[in-house]
Amino acid sequence: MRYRKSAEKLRPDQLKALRKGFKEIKGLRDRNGFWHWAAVHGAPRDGCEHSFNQFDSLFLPWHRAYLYRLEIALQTKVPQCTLPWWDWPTSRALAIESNASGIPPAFADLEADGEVNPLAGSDLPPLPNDPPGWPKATERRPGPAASLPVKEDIKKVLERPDFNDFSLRLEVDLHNLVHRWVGGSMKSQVLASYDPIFWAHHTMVDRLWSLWQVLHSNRGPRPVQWRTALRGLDMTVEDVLDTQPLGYQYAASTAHREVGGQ
Amino acid sequence: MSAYSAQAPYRTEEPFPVPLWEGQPCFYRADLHFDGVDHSGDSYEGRVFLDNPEADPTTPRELESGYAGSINVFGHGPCFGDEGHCEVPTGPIHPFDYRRPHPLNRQLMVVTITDGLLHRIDAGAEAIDVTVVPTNDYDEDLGEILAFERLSLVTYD
Repeated sequence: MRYRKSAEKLRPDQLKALRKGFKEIKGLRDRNGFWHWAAVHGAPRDGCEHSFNQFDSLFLPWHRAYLYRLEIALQTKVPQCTLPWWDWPTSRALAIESNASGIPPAFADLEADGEVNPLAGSDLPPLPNDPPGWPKATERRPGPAASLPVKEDIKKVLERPDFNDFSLRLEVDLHNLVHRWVGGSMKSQVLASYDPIFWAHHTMVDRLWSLWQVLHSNRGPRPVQWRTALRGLDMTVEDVLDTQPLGYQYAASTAHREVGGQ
Repeated sequence: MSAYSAQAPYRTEEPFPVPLWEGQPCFYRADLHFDGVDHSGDSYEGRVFLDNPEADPTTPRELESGYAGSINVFGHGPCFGDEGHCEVPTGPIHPFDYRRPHPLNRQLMVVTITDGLLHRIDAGAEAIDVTVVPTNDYDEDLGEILAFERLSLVTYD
C-alpha cells in the first residue's frame, strides 16, 4: 500500500521522488508521458467528465481513474513516487502568515536543487492542427490567498449525506473555485491538466471523496453507473469505487520501522 | 430553449414568492437551481444577491448586502479543435451511438441560500428578487459570460 500525503508536509526524499518522477515523464513521448496524459483531460482529447446534472455525474470516478493512470506512469520511472494532495486551507493559512502565494512551495518554487522545478509549470506540445492562440507553456495568476477555501467550507461539503449532492457541491463550490483561483492555464479546462498543480488539486478532490466515503459508509455512485466506462482511461466506475484496490490510501503522515525476522 | 446571456448582472423580472406557512418559514434548506449553465467560455464566479438589484462586483459578500452564495463556473476555455469541435449535438446521432454526452453540454449548478433567505424573511420579505453578478478576480472584461436557461427556487421541509 502506498500513501498519498499533503504537498505541504512532504519529506525531502518524498519531494525529491515526486520531482524526479515528473521530470522523467515529461521527457517521454509515449503512453507513459506527461503530455499523453495531460492531453486526455484537455486539448486535444477533451475526455474529462464534469457534471451536467445531479444524476449522471462521473466527475469523481473519472478523475480518480485519471490520477491513478498518471501515478502509475510516474511509478514506472520512480516506484516510490505518489501524488500529493493540495491541502487548500493549510496552504491558505501558511500563505497569509508568510505573505506567500498560496500554492504549496513544492509546486511554486521556480527552481529546485539548482534546476528548473518540474512542478512549477510545463511546456505544451504543439497540436496537429496548429490552432491560433495555443500557448507554448502553462502560466498561473493566483488570486489572494484569503480566497482559498477554509476548513469550514470543506466541512459543509463533506456533511452532505447524498452522494450526488456532495459531488456537485465539491465540484462547483471547491474544485471550480480553486481552478479559477490559480488562474492562467488552470482556469481553462482544455489547458489545466498541463499544469502540475492540477494533479495536486485533483488529488485533494479525490481525498475528499475518500473521506466522504468513510464518513457516510457509502461508496457513492449508483449501481446503475458501475459498469460505465471512463472514457480514455480503460477503467469503469466500479474499478475506482475504493482506493485500496488501486494501491493507495490517504495519510497525514507516515512512519515505518523495518523489523528483523527470525 | 431560450436562455439568459449577458455581460451585465442577471436580475429576476418577477420575484420568487417565499415559502411561508402562517408567516413562518416552512423549510430547512433553500437552493437556487441554475439549469443549463453555459461553461464554454472563461471561468468566472456568479455572485447571488437577494433583494439587492444594485449589487455589483464591489458589493460586500455579506448577509446585510443580500449576498447568499456563488456559482463557480470552470470554463472550457478557447476552442483549439477543428471546425465543429465545440458544437454541442442535440443527442446521439443514431440508436447505436453510445458515446458520453458532449463535454460542452450545459450544466446544472446549485447554490444553497438558506441563510440568506432566512435573513430576508427576518427583515419582513414575502418575496425575493435575485441578482447574479458575474465576476472574476482580475477586473477583466468578461464579455457575455453569464448564460443559463432557467432559475428555480427549491426548498426542502
